Amino acid sequence: MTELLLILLSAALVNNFVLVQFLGLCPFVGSSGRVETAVPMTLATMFVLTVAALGTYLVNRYLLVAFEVEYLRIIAFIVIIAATVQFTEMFVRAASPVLHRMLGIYLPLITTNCAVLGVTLIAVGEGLSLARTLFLAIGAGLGFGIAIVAFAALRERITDDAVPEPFRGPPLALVTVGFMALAFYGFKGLGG
Amino acid sequence: MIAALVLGGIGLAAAVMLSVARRALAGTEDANADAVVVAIDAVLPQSQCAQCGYPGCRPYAEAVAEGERLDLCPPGGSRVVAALEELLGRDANAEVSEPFDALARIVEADCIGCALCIDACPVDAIAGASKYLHAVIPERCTGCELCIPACPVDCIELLARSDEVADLPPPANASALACIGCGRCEPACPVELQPEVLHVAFETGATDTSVIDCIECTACTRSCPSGIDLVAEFGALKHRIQGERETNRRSEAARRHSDARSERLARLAREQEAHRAKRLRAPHQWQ
Repeated sequence: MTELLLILLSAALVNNFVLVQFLGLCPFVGSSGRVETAVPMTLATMFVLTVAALGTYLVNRYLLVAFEVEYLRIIAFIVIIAATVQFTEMFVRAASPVLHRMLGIYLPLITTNCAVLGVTLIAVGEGLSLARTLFLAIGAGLGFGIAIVAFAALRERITDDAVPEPFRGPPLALVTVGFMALAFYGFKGLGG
Repeated sequence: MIAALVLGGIGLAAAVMLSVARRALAGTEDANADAVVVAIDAVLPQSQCAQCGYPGCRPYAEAVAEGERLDLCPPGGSRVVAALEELLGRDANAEVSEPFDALARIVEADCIGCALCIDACPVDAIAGASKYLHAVIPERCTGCELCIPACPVDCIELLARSDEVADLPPPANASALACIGCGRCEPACPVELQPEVLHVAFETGATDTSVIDCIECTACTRSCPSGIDLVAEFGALKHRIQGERETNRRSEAARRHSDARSERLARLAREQEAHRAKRLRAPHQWQ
């Protein structure tokens, strides 16, 4: 149990997928304009991460390894991730069309969020058990959520600030990401 | 061979699951389809002016939901374009001129009492009867200009809305020096506002409704080492908020009036239809 919690904490903070491993930067910068879009984006990504991790674990274990076709790993995983994202998109469109408009292209783009493929490939590469894979995925989702919501809150403040003209918008956002990555580097100390 | 079968199997399983899910979700999707249109309609100014090329704000909202351009609303100006961009997450890529807040007025000397403008008005803002002088109810008029082509003697003129809550001119000694963010104004405020944050809101043109609580005691102005006249800025900010509320209230009223009008027209059409049907059924008197 302790180990599972450690995996969760490590994936969320110490090895934060966005700010330490620099995976999934596209939605991180793209849909962090406002907290209201960042939160549903996080929930969608967490859902995709968890379901995709479960699906890829099962497929890897009972299909790829069983039939000795492990070299199909990446293409098979991408099919699974794409299907999960498609389902998520359908669900969001049915549940809240306004939210679906707000997230726009970034919702289907979760497919190409390398954090998702990264988590599944890491889990399989390390040979993690099912429970550990799931905790890794949830932790990665949490880490993504912490990073993107904090970043969105910062950006909301920055947009109302008297920033010098050349730094307005993306430049200052990228500088902010840099500072946040530095701050997250401090979590390395947690590992002891 | 095995590789193809495995991949094909995964793809097939995913496709089957997705199509099952699609069927299960189809019902809720229809029920929620209206929500986008309502959200878009709430952003539009409700002048019902048809300058976008659609018969009113609601039809334009429906068209926008289907992918129509965002910059077709002249009375909305850049405010509406920005709100739509934010709501829908797409770029309008357009330069929009600022709207001119207008008000129609009937020149009494020229009006012949034809009542044509009354039918043209989408928000029932013209009062009067045939062969009598009409007048525009300023409170209701949205400045849509639809009555102007309807008038046969060209007696309707467009005025700038003079009772408008306009932006006050910026305070005379505003930002003598820039705000250095020292925070001295914050403990000085007796009603626990954040003068520094409000100052930024004033400078960036944002709306911060907490300024309504300002009692204009000038404590913050006196505490400011840069000599910024904070209280004067907050007065202007209050004015701006008041103006926004006024605009919202008017667009809400215009929506009500326009809905009432379309309802009335539909009812009249129904009644006329019923009347005609009755007359058709009854034997003609001269037969």
